[in-house]
Amino acid sequence: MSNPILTICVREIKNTINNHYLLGMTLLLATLSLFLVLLSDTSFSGSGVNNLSMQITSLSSLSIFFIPLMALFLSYDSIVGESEQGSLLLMLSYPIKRHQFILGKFFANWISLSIAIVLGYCSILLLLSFGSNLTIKFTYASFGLIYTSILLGGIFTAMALLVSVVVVQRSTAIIYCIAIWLFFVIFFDMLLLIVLTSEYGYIISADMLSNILLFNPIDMFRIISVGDQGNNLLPLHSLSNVVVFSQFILTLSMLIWIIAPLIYAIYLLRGKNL
Amino acid sequence: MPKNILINYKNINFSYKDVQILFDINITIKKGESVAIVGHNGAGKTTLIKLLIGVLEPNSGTINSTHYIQTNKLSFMPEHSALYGHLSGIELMHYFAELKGVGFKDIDKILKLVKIDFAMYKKISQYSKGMKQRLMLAQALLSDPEILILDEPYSGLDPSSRRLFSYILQDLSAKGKSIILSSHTLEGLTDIVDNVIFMKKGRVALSGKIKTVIDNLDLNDKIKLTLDKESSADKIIKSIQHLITSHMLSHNKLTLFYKTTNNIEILRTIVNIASIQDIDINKANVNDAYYLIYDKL
Repeated sequence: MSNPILTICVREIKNTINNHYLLGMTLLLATLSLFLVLLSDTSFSGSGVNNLSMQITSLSSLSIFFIPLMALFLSYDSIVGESEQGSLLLMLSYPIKRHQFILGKFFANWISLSIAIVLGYCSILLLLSFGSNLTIKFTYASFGLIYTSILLGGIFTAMALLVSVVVVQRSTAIIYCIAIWLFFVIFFDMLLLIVLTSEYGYIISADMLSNILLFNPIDMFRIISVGDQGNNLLPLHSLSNVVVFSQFILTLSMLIWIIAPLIYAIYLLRGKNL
Repeated sequence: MPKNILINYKNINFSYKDVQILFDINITIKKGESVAIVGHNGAGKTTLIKLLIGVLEPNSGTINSTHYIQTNKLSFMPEHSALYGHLSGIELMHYFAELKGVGFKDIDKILKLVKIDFAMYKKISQYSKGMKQRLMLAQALLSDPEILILDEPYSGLDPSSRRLFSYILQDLSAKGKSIILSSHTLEGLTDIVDNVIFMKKGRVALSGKIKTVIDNLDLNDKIKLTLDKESSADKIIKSIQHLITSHMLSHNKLTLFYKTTNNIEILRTIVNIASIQDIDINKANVNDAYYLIYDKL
């Protein structure tokens, strides 16, 4: 008997290839990252800012804006779409457990996104290697960025799946996903900054701030991916000083951010009235 | 539980968001038996089907059934064509076969059986509704299931697809497979199923063998007479009043309702006293039972 998770996963990956999602995501990441790397290579060459820091920071900003968005749009209708077209009922009458169905979808979308991230970012390394601009430091930092971007993609894929289980209409899922993106990518840090710079800023100690940042996967990603490179850039330098957790704890926290929504999505799908 | 019992539901209740949908459902289905779950929209047929396929669980009651849920012993065909339009028919069948853990060797045979083999490489989005329904039936036949549960299988089908479905289901029933299907009407189903469950407002209004149900309902047979001008309807009615239960007269068309036991005597009397252009005798059937249950009970 074949493994349903694997069967669903393979079918879904084939779908993302056939409907050109994978190609689109890869091209988008490759084009934008190349553009950013070339831009940072020229614009900041005389500014005193370390070039490598600038390039990695630019690429991590690209990941912060686009990878959550791509993950959310790839997965928002994974469950609700099946439910709307009636295939969820059919699938669950098959010898497939509900957690297998969700995990199959999750791994398919995460793998598809990861392939796009790897191909997109590695294409810059390839292009830079032709012009002899590729340094070992940049290659090492890029691999770190790819690794954390994959984790970030996993987190938002899991969140999108959770949304897809909660809602009953695709249109609602889109709205929820946009709200999630806005909250984590834009508003979380903005609100934090407002509080910190207000007269009540003293309430949040450095330790507390460090803990608060664990509630936003984007901040964790930023700290891990930029790492030492951020020391040359003032805001990130400050952030690194504030965060007391090791890279291991931060990576573990990102994994928890993947697992927790998935478990909750499985729990909700088990009790869902189809 | 006796070995020949496939499904045994006792006092099943189901509610969703504080609204009770099924009330005190009792069902027993033996191996090889075929059942039609009949009722109007909102009668609870689809909810009952969802309980039977195991995607819903009752709030209370006892289920003593053979372990068939989420196994290859059970196949389900949903009401709406739950298909992936971007796949071809053959790709979909391969996908479903892999999920069921069965090989691909029977796929061609099944697609031929449901007469969709000619379009197996076409995208499903290009299929007509009838073709999609046939593909849905094909996926249900993949694992050679012991129990086939079909939700409104005839809904929206053209006559030729209806005939094909009936033929396939009759054949499966004859092979000892259990077929459970839901429908708005029993019309055309009596060759496939031998048992019926009439659902009304979430309850089982009546159930049992179709013949027994009709007999127990004490339904009337009817004779439709087209009378000659010189024949008097009043005279006919007067002479057989003690043999009929009711009558309807419209111009020269007289319909008499009566119990089966009186049919010979009625016919003899009519032939003796009236001049008739046409006569049409209808035995009480499942549709009469349906109308009695939904219009009167």
